[in-house]
Order: sequence, then structure tokens, then C-alpha cells
Amino acid sequence: MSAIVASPSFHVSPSLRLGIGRFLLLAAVLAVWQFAPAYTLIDSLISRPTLVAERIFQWIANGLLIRESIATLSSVIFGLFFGGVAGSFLGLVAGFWRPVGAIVEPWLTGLFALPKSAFIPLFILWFGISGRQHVLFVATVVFFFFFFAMFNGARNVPASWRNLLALSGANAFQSIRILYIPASFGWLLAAMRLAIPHAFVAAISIEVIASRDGLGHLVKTSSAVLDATGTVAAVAWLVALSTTLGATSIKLAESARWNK
Amino acid sequence: MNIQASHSTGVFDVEPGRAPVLSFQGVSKSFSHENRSTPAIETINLDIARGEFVAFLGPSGCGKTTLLNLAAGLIKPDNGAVLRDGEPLRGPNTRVGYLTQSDALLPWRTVIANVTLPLEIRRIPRVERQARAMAMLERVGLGAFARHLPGQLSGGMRKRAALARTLVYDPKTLLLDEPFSALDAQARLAMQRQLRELVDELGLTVLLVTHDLNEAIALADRIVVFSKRPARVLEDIDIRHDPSILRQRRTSLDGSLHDRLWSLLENELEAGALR
Ligand SMILES: Nc1ncnc2c1ncn2[C@@H]1O[C@H](COP(=O)(O)OP(=O)(O)OP(=O)(O)O)[C@@H](O)[C@H]1O
Ligand SMILES: [Mg+2]
Repeated sequence: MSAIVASPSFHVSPSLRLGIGRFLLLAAVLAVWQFAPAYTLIDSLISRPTLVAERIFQWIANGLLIRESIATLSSVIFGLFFGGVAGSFLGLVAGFWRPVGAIVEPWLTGLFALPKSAFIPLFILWFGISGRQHVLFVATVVFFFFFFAMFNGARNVPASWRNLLALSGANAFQSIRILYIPASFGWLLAAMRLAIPHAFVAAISIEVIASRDGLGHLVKTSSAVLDATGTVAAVAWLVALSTTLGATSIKLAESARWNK
Repeated sequence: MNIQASHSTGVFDVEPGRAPVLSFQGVSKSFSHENRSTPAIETINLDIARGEFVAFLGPSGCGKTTLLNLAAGLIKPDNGAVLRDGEPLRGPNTRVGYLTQSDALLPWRTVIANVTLPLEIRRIPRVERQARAMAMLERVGLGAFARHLPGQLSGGMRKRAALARTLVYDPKTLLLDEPFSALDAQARLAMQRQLRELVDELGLTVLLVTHDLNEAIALADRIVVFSKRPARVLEDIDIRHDPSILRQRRTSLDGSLHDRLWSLLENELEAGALR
């Protein structure tokens, strides 16, 4: 007979344990929120989870949430696309041709430090309050992340790799395609991680200030009538949306990466 | 035996009137660091004839890699000129294969995709470059690892993959910077033999930088010994042997050459230590 007492094998994988832990934390916060004493200001300030959930379902049912989400998502996605393409392209150019980089880099560093939301009124003045102007604003915000990612990626390509291409007689386009773009991939991934949440913040900010649709508009109209349930519902939905989009796009990008 | 057969074909002889493959003419090069310029090499004059296998020996940091970089056209001399086939070199020397101290394999490309890279840049059709790369990988014994990523190979295998990439586009001149220093003794011997066979078979000209005296004696036809930095030529020894002597046995037969080179280098090291 074995000396070891056979314990019931109840093995929980680390990732499952982590998931359970995170869920319990969320549940605890929701429970406190739900059952906090009624004499606090909670009801009028941040409502209750059940009410928020009810409101979200209601909004989904009547199509409002979907409509506003599509408006916000389209600003975010098109903004990420145009800002990403422009930023990556210029970053690559500036990183590849060092003299160009030396000229533009300090200016872009300066512009990067500007608080972009402070310019929303100017944006409105210039471009009106159309959806196109939302895309433009999001694109401006995310441009910098992609610019600096590709700029640094290109500048950090090791000399040994550059020499390898030079000795094969590679022209600029070949070097960029074969070496600079793949070598900057990790930098681009890092830029995406930062750019996606910032794109949401940018889209929402401009919707709050000047818009007739979008989730930011929903947040604003709810809070304007002191509708705590509506405000929290809109914000909660927004967080869920941006986290999901961020996580899936990072996953997608990472699956294309060589060193997983 | 294949090695001797081609060794005695006379491919080493410079045809009269034919310019050397590479020629350093009064070449010097300094590097500036924190506003101070230190010479790395000083007035080097060297001619490398077609088909020659030349080993560069010298103390660490004396400027051997700098010489290879000059020959590869990756850096420009401050004074003098580097000639290739009699013409001054302008820009990267695309006719040489350069195996640097780092293997420089691109980590996101498979081994075979790394080897096809020089062919891709030279716009060789896909089918042909796959076939040539595969053949070269088989030669260096990496056929089974073609689809691996460089990160999945050992150091020695990475070196061999880099060698395959260097040879795949048939350069007539090889610049090799301590290609085998990271290998264990066994692998090194195998690679040395393979290199010598390839060189003889393809009639290549080779500049080999090494710290290993035995390697220099076993492989090279000519050994150039450099002083400590700034590099000057101390000795230029032709060690081409009677073809009847087995090359593999040269090391043991030639203890005196070994001793002579050793004392040369030893003097340099002592001189350096005293400074
Ligand atoms: N890019 C550079 N910038 C500044 N100094 C350099 C540069 N490249 C080489 N040097 C200097 O030139 C000298 C010669 O360097 P080199 O790499 O040619 O030596 P080496 O003979 O190849 O040495 P080792 O045998 O250790 O590889 C060294 O003192 C080094 O510090
Ligand atoms: Mg060196």
C-alpha cells in the first residue's frame, strides 16, 4: 500500500485561479455598491448595479446603445487607422533618413506634450462637429504614438542588420520592407496598447463637448439631467467596449508576431 | 583527395596584368570618441590576389575588424584607398560575402528565409532562390532545420546558417571575422574542413580574421600579423606548402612556424601591457 494518502486531485490551473480572483474582486465591489446603506448619497450619485444593468439592457433593447456605440467605434477605428498609417509612415521616414529625423523629432516631441483636448474648441472652429472631425481628432491623438514607435523602431535597427542589407545591395524600399518594418513590430505593438485606450478617450472627449451622437453624447445628456443610472450605464458600457477592442486587437497583432 | 587536387591546380597564381581582388593602399583610419581621435589602423599596404586564403592575426582591438569593414566598403578610409579589382571602392562592396563576428540572422525569419535574403534582394526568382538556399543549407548540415527560427538553433548552428547565407549568392571573395570562435573544438574542426573544401571547390579568395594560430596555419596560404593598435603589418608570411604535404598535418609538422607566430604575438601583447 502506498504511504502517500491519495488526496482528491483538485487541480486548478494558474490562469483559472487568476480569473476567479479577478471575478471575485469585481463581485465584491459590486456587492458593496449594491448593498451600501441607503442614507448615503450613493443612489443619487452613482446609482446601483442592478439599476445600471437594467438600463443597459433597456438601451440595448431599444437600439440606442448600439447606435451610439457604432458612432463612437467608427470615430475610434477610423481615427486609429488614419492616425496609425500616417504616424507609422512618417515615423518610419524620419527614423530611416536620419537627417529628416533630426529636423522633425524635436518639434513632434513638443507637439506630443500638448494637451490635445484643449484644442477641441479649435478643432470645432476649423472643422465643425461632423463625424469626420471626430475621426480627425482621434487620428491626431494617436498619430504620435505610432510616429514615435516607428521612429524608435527604425533608429534601433542594429548596424549588423543594416550592413547585411547594404552588402546585398538593397535599396531603400527593400531595406524598409525586409528589415525596418518587421524589426519595428514590437514597437508598433506597444504603440497599439497605448493608442487604443487613448483613442477612446479622445473620441469620448470630443463627443462630450461637441456632438449629436456617440457614447460621449449619451454620457453628457444623462449627466446633464442628473441621471446617475444613465451616466454610469453609459460609462460602464464604454469601458467594456474599449477593453474588449483593446484586448482583441492586441491578441490579433500578437498572433502575427514571431517571438510569442 | 579533393582538397589537394584543387590545391595544386594553380588557382592561386595571379595572372600577369590582373589586378588584385583587394588592395589596401596606404589606408589609415581613426575613430573619434569624446572629441579624441584614436587611430585604429595606420598606413596599411596589402594586396590580396585572386584565390588567396589570407589569415589576419593580431592582438585584440588592433583593428582587424576595421580592415574587413574597409574591404566591405562599410566604412571609408581617412587616407589612402581600398581598391577592388583595381577600382576604388565606392559604397558597400556587394561582391564580397562578409561573415561578421555577430551572426546577424533576422530573428523573425526562418533559417531558410534568412538564407534566401541576399537572393531576394538581388531579385532572383523565388523557386530558384529556394532551391539554392536549400542546397546551401544541406551543405552546412542544416537541411533539417530550414523551417526553424534562428532562436531555436544553437550558437554553432546559427554560425553555419550565417555561413550558408554568406555563400548562397556565390561571392568570389569571403571576409570572415572570427567565424568559428564561438564553436566548441569539435564543431570548429568540422567547420574548418568544410570551409577549406568549399573554398577550394569554388576557387574563393578569403580574408580570415582569427585569434587561433592553429586555425591560421591549417587553413591559410598566407598569414599577415598585425601590431597592436594602431595596426601595422608586422609580418607577411607565405606559408603555401608543397602540395605533397597533407594540409591536415601541417600544424604538427610546422611547430617552428607556430612558435615564430606565437612569439610575434606575445611581443605585441607585452608591448601593449606596458603602455
Ligand atoms: N565604430 C567605432 N567607433 C569608435 N571606435 C571604434 C569603432 N570601431 C572600432 N573602434 C576602435 O578601433 C579599434 C580597432 O577595433 P577593431 O574592432 O577593428 O579591432 P579587432 O582587431 O577586430 O579586435 P578583436 O580581435 O577584439 O575583434 C578598437 O580600439 C576600437 O575601440
Ligand atoms: Mg574584431
